[in-house]
Amino acid sequence: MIQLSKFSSSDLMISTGVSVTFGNVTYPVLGTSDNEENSVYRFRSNMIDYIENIYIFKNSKEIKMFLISNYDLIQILLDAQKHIYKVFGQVPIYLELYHDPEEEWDELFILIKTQYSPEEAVNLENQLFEEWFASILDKVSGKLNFTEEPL
Amino acid sequence: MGKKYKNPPVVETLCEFNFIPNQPWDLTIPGLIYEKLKDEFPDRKQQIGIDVEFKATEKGLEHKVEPALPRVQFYKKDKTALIQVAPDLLAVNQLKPYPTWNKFKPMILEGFRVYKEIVNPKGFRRVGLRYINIIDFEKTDIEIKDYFQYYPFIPGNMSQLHGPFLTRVEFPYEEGNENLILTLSSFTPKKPDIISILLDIDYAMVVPEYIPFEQITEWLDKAHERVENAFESSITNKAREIFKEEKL
Repeated sequence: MIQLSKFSSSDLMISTGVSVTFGNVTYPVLGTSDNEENSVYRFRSNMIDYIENIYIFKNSKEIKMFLISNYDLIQILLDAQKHIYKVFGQVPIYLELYHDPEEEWDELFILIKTQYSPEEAVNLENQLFEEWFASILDKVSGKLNFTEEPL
Repeated sequence: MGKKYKNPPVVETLCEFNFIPNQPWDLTIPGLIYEKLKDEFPDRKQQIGIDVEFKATEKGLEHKVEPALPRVQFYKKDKTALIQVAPDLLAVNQLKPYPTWNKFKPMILEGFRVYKEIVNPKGFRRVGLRYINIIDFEKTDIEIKDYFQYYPFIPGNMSQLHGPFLTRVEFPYEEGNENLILTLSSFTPKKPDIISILLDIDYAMVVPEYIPFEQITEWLDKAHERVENAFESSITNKAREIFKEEKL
């Protein structure tokens, strides 16, 4: 008997549509076929799994369901990492889905965990907004936001 | 002829061609293919892809994410089907609703004809026909064997209550020149309080040039029949009730 779980199936899945390069040689990660994922349906699901390698998901199942319905955020989340690292350095980054059942409102938050002082953190948040987030604000339209939090 | 369902679980069918090239890939090829297909597949997109590079450095293992080789997708206006082109690759995908095999097959053959005319490849490296089914259960737990004939066997002395799972078996056909891969797994559902199960059936020619271009029509019919048999063999009558079998 299978029952609903806090974990998602992807915890067991190998991400396909992703290849790994060692030196100059690129190895496709094996999927159902012996090459990269060609199914639109499963490619999307695999990209969501890949995002979980970059971010620490606070509520994994909810985030994945949200991303399935908001697939346009995937590319933005993939790009976000390099902008965050550029401003804050290589810090842990989390994703958390905030849900307001009364308003039927969902928003995904990138939580940037740092050890900066509050003043420094605010300055860096402003810098990240100007260098990256301002340019995607119209695309994310209340679906994605970011904030700094103490580690 | 296979069974017909009013509420079929198929979410995507695709035919994947990997080719042995005759010459190096030319970046103008996707544009030339698009010119021939644009009446039926006018919406052009580039799919994001990623390469992850791991490098040993003084600091340890570092990874770098870079864009993968471009893959161009040509969608039908209503987004129900698409053709994908990448170096030495052609994929023809049908999304929901699945029409019938008699309508999907001509679409595959037309995509193949156009690709072959423009690229002139040497032969097939691999050809696969794949049906991806998702079955949603609005329940908090289900007994998998009530719906599937193919499922993970849990030994009696272990808890029969389990979470996410993945089973995958390869069956050789044509003396190992072809195979059928049957995958049954749990899948991230679209909504909470739903259990989603994925049944992915992939029949493929896996030995390069085992079939020549001229035999592709017959091969597709054979592959379709084997996928259909695998599907019917993998489900129970209780699943057929969900799919609402139409009596012919």
